[in-house]
Amino acid sequence: MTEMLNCQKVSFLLSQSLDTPLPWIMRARLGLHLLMCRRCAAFRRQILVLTSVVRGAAAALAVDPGHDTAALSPAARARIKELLASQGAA
Amino acid sequence: MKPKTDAWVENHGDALFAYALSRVSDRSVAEDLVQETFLGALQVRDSFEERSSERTWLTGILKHKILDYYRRSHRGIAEKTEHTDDPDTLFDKAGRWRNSPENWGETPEDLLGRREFIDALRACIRALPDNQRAAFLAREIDGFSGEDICKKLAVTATNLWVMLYRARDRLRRCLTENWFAKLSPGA
Ligand SMILES: [Zn+2]
Repeated sequence: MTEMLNCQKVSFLLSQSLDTPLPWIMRARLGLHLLMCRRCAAFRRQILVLTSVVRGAAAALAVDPGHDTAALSPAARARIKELLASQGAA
Repeated sequence: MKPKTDAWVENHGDALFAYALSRVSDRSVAEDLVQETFLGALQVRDSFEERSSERTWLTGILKHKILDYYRRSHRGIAEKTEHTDDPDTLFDKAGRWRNSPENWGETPEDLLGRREFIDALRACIRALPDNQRAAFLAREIDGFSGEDICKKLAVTATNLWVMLYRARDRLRRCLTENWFAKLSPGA
């Protein structure tokens, strides 16, 4: 029962392979498809580049320059300190 | 033993707030997440090991709080299948690409060296649907395993794979349109 892999399925499997190990037979079928299909090979390169740049930019992405003042408001700061003091003392 | 909780807020409050704000975009939600993080830290402060930095430890707690928030606020974060703007429309009935993915022709190192690229990447991530963004960043930046994300978000593995597939596909198309196509208008 080996249905043909089309590009749509291949693109999903390529993404899935970044999240979970695929069975070796599936990896072999993917590899064969990629040898013959430039489009899926290009898709694969794109998602690999995407993964590296997102990981590489993690620190920069963890701050949001869209908000000019990424600082707790004085009210929130006071509230949190008060809560911590009361719970910490308990 | 009373922890120096005032110092926690002074030393790490703003950084945690900035981190939270990059994920949830609503200031009051981000403030609540910081509060929950500190209160959670108070509960488990004995687990803090001097070897790791306080900031790293607190950020680790915040990452869990962010996923908890998404699960709570979306009443089931599972992916719906009827979106029109999903990868299914990129293929014809036989499952062939309608348009080929482009050759980007740049290495991650090239790209990471450009501030404008990081801005484009950030904008594309922000444009993702909430559930896809939460799953994608938990996976790629916060380093959760697929299994952990499924548990935290209460979704099945298949559903998570679909979410991550759609997130990656949207991001690659968004970057193609907003970065690579603009970079080489003649190509
Ligand atoms: Zn293909």
